[in-house]
Amino acid sequence: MSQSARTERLLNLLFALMSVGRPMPKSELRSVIRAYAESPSDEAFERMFERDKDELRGMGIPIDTVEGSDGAGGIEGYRIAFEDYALPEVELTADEATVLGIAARVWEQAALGPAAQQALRKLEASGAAAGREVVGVETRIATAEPAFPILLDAVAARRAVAFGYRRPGDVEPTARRVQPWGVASRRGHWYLVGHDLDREAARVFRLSRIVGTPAGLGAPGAYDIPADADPITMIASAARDGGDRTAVVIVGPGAASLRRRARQRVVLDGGHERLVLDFADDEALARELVGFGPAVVVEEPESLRAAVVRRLRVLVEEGP
Amino acid sequence: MTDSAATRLSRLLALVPWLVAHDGVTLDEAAEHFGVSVEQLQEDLYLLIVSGRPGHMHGDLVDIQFWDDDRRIHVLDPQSLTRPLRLSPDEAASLLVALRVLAQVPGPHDRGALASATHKLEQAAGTAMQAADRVTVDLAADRVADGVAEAVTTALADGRALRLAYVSATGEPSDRTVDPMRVLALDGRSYLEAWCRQAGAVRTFRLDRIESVAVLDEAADVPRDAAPVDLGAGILRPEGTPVTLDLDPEVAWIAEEHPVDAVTDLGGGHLRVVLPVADERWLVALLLRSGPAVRVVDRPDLAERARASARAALAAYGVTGS
Repeated sequence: MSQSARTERLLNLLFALMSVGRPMPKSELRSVIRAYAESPSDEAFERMFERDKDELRGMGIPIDTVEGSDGAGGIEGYRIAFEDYALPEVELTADEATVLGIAARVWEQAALGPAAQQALRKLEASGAAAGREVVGVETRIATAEPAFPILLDAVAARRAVAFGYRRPGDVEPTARRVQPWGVASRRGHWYLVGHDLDREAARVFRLSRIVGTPAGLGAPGAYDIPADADPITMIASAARDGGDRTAVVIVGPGAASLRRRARQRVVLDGGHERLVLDFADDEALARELVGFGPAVVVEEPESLRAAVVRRLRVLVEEGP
Repeated sequence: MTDSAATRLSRLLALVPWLVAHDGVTLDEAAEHFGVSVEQLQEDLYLLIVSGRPGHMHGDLVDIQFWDDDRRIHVLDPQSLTRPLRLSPDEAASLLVALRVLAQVPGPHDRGALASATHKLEQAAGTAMQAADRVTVDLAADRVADGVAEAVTTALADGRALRLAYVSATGEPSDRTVDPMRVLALDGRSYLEAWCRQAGAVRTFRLDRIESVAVLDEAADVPRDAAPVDLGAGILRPEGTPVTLDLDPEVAWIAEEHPVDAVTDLGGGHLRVVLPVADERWLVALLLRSGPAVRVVDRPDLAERARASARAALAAYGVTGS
């Protein structure tokens, strides 16, 4: 069947369910909708009707099943209540339409792009004033990872997923089973946060490390998302930002970018500064500081100083 | 590519109320708005006018007039398609998440309108808005110095030039006078796009690398031919000289963190990558941080620069390298 004929059939089913003003019995739908009337058998009609109903519901069209009044539990018919179907009246000012226009461009080529454009058209059909073509701010968020829409649906359905996960440097992916709580973006990377069923703990997964397509696991609605789940905090702590230790370093003019994250700065002679930095891990901070070469010298703690000197020695002896 | 029936039906259901609200719009305008060809739009309209209530008698069908010479569209009878279908969870989420992102972005956009549009959208979306809580976007991961967001916003709103103390990716400080063009928030980071008077070119400045900023009394003066960054061409992908590196498994993340032109799997978790390098100092810093786990394949001079820098740093600690 051609797409055009199928669209026409769906459209006529929609009109029949929405415009007649009473529940439409299946038998009546079969006689008034030509494509149904022409179906060769009862089975063919049943299959067609069920598929069409699912298709409309999948688009978010609310089809009510109205039970018969005889109490026998039979189905009297189907209807679409206009008040459930229709987008409520939204009156937008020109300024509001303008920010919605900027918002609809945020996803542009990304997975949510078509949904955003469609949402904007619906709002504009609802009597919105025309927005201005603004200059001044533009935002783009990419979702290049093929797992993104699948995981979004899994979170909505509260259904566990299974996928292969490969950290940088892993030779083979490991199999992971996760109850997804949400997806989140930080510093341009997308993450899945959720409950890892094998580790029995909350975990963070980078979407770009997921190998292949995540598969649904078990029934939808199988778990609750904790009300206090905070994806950004989980990702930040997985990335080990900040820390509860402090380091003191002397920086020269070549290491200005380190100043921005200093908790305290004291200007010294000769363009040097003494900085106090928060950190968690000797090796992680040593790695960063070595990148500045002779422009940064650690004063304390001794363990950090030793870690830097050890790295520098290895560089001099083995080289990059 | 042909649409699926559901995609086309979605368009038809949005099209009729939009045409009602924009009476007399031309075929070309409507086609552009819905992102389809004029031919496709005409096919959509022909399909609509044979559809309607059962019976299909006069008065049961959608009635749209669109064949006059002026190519203007008039909906005479929309049947029950007077209102758009309510927002799906994905549609509600896409706009709500984007509005929440915009609330985090500095810039001259109207904060009051942003808040009221968000509120109206939440009202209209009903329960579909809960889907927006599935998606979080954080733009605050990199700390922006106090006053930077406010100064950039003021300069753009009032059309004034800015004086920046900026630190490049390699840690080089510079003072620049710039004529602001836009704020860009791209993949989790915020930038000021501006005409840089020192460079005589359009430049993007990461807000978290602006150390201090002053709004000047002077009006911003962006040259007429200053071309804004093409956001469709990939996000601020650096141009540069290709340098080939071999990565041990423990630094394979480099291929994930930086835009690489080519990746070859050498087996056992080892990779060979080709990295575009715009600033050699940046690569030297990367080599210093990564240690012997990264090897430069085709530029021994850069490896030697890293080694010399490490030697100088050891000397600063009072240690003599071998």
